[in-house]
Amino acid sequence: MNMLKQAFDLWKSEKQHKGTTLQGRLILFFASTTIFLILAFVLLLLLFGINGKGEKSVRAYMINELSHVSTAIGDNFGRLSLLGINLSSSISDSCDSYFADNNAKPGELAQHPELLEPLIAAQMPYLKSAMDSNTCSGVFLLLDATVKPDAENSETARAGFYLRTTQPLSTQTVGAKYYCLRGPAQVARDNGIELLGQWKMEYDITENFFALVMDTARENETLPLSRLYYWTGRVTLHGNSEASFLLCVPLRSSDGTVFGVCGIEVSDRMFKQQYSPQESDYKDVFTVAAPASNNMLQSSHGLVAGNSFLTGQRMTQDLSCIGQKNGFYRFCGDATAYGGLIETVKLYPTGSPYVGTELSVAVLMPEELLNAAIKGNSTYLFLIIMVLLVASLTASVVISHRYLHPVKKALHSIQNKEYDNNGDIPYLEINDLFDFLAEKDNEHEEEMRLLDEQRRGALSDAEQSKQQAERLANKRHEEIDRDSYALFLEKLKTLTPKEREVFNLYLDGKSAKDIVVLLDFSKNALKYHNKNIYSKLGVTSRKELLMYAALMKQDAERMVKE
Amino acid sequence: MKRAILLFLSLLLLVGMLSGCASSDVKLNQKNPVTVTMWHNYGGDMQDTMDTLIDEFNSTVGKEQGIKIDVTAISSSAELNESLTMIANGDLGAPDMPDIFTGYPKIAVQFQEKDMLANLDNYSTADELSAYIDEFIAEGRLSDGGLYVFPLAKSTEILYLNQTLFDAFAGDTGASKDQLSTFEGIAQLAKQYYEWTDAKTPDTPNDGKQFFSSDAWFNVAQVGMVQLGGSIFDDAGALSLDNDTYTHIFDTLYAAAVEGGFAIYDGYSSDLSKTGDLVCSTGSSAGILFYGDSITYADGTVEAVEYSILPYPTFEGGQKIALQRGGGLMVAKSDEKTEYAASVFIKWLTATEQNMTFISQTGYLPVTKQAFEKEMPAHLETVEDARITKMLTAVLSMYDTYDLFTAPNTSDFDAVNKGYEKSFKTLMTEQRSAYLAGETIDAQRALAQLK
Repeated sequence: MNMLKQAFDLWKSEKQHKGTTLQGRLILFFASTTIFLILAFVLLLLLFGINGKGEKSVRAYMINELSHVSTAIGDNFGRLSLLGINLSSSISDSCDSYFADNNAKPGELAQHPELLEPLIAAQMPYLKSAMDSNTCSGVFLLLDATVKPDAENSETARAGFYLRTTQPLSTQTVGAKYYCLRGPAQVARDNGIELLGQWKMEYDITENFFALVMDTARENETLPLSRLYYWTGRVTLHGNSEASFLLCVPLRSSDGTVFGVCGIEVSDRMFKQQYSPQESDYKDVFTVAAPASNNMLQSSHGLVAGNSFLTGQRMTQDLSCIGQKNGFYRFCGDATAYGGLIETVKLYPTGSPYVGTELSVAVLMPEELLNAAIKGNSTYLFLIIMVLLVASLTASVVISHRYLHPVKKALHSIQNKEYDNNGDIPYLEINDLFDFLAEKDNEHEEEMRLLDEQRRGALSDAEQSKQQAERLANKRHEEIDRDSYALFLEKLKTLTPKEREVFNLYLDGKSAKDIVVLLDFSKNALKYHNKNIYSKLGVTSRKELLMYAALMKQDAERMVKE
Repeated sequence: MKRAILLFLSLLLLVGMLSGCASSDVKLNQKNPVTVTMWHNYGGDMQDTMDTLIDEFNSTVGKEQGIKIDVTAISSSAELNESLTMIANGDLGAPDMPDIFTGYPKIAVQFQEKDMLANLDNYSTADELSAYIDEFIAEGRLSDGGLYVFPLAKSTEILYLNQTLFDAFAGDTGASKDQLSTFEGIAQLAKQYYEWTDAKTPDTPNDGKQFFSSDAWFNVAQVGMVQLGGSIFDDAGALSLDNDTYTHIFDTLYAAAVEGGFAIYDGYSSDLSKTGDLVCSTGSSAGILFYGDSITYADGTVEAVEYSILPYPTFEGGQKIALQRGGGLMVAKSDEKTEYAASVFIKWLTATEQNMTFISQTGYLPVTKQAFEKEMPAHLETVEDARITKMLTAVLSMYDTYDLFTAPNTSDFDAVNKGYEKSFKTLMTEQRSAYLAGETIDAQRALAQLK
């Protein structure tokens, strides 16, 4: 860490010392401008709400679909409830008449199995009339009695009639037929109704919803039929191949005896045809209508519409609500998570014993697709901004390089004093600078030439002076007695260091004034040293001393040359 | 310059022609799938199988290619035919035409004459079609030679026998199962059975039970004529009943029907079988799932029974010939994308793997050579439903010993078929009523009435 800090400090000090490169500064300028513009662009998008458009769109779609589907389910199920209540009233009245004609009591129906088939046959007009409404896939009648009370399965066998159509909601097909799923075969044949492959004569009430409806009606004798109908969750009748919701309305005679159930079927296929979400850009959206409790959407007891990749048969798992994300509810099954919106549809009026077991309607889609739809444009926007950013930075580098290349080339030329660019440099200012520098260079060269000439003259003068000095020294050399000179050299050794220092300065050609300054003497001190030097060396004057000194210097130079 | 323009135009023409031929170049959008509506007649116990296959397609190939099959109607063949006929005739109140529908060539003819069907040759290569049994492809080709009915699953007609009821009858009367190989034998047994059951309640006269019925009396007459070397149609394609061969057929059926041994019923024979009101019946081999393992009498008594599958009966002296049944898939003429998407689906649905899945759960016969000739025998051991195994075994055996007859694809075939069926049933019902009322009845007079 310390090393890094030191390196950074070094770089910083170096930078402060040397400054930044031209290209670096230019890139920094461009990049700053670009980033500023992009940030301003993003800010504008945020301000005008363009970002997050995906979330708004998918939310609007979901809200619209949920509103549409839940309203349709509420309305249609309400109408079917009314149809069921009317059917129950009609059949109950008809049965009352039948009981009266045959001196039978409704409560004793189970003891008179011989009455069942004619009783059922008498109700066929009401069942067929309900089917003719083209609003359901089936109608049924179940009597709390069996034709074989002594049979082993009499506990779960119940007589009745179950009428189905293979083309619910069809108002166009003239060839539409009704089929018999349960009921006496002869009654079916007498009414021109074919038996389905899964036909059985009687119901097998392993499902307990029929008993639930009858028991509840018996416990609430005072309640009208309009408070006693019940919508089952998704059920598949024993031996049947298609699941459905069943509206069950108790059959109650005028004496208050509950002797059976009649009702309406909304099949899986019919539900799909009616309540699939609209085609849209969003994939795999589907509707679930199911009971819900304790944060659990009981989709295994519900019907599914839409999303052709998801069928009612496959939706066998309940969905647990695990919270909210982006304002959408999250549901988790065993393997897949879904997201969407949910709403409760009121099925029962106030006073119904079934209030509280309402139907929840949800419009969902796989969570990964929902998340993708929410991100939608944001992801593209982010990608576009990133691409813009990278492109701008690259452009900054390229443009800076291209702009500065001639400048750097020019600087290099200046360093090499090459001012002739042959038109390579496209900048006028630099070309003017080159002309200016070339002119200055010429002037400088002229000055240099003159100075050189002066130097040469000075050197020539110096050489002449030197030759003259040498000639003079040689002459002096010849003039000085060799023995006196030898003695002089011998006596030099007697000088004190300070005196020797003074002597050496004389030898270097320094004046008395220079020596006083250099050695920080007073003039008197120099005089004192001079006197001692003269005395010890046996000279009488400074002139004589300088003569010996010149001689010594001459010898030294000669020795160096040799 | 002129040459350059000509060259350019030629190139344009060539590109146009090539693009017109290359239907496989149709580009579908995975994100915006083409919805293909479908009607089919595989309801009841077969619905789950078809639903599962369609779901599988939608979630695999359909999802990848952008195709969504949306089943908008599941109904019986008769109901679908009614609706389709309305569409073909342009009747008021007719429903919208589905993109794919199941049906017989007789329905296809009505649409093809009005140029309302897609020629599936445009969406299939010769190599692809060579994988299918040649006769099945040939059946789907109509007058202009185009392929308009793509084979999905085939069936033939067989004789369903309630072995439990028959054994009880044979035990008492000595009736032989061999008699079930001919219509004459069946007529004799029917008379015997009626008397035998009538005798069980001596206090109630004429309450004997019916022995035999057919899902299609026209087929009995049509195939019977071929078995006996004739044809129910004359050279001009009109119904031809004025001959000795048909007279023999009529006489055979008439006596048994009037005397109560044959059931003349508007619905399927299986309805009567479910309540023990019939011992045997001829019908499509694909109807096996409508026969359960028990019968329920009117008083609620349930009896476990076993059914046997026997070859289609012949008229005495006739050849072993049975009807080749089973419709196919038709594609409505539409935009290129929808037609192409429909063709992708039908080729997927009839590929060997899917075809074997379908037949093993419905009782139909496969349509590809590989499935029919190579995979069927081994596959029989893996079929879970014993009824289907029994039926397929019997039918495969029939294919070895019988010649199969295919009904003609004429435009008025359907009308003739329906007309005969209605007239025959009405006549027999009236004759039966007259017989019960003690009136004098006569086969020749009745036949003249039918003609």
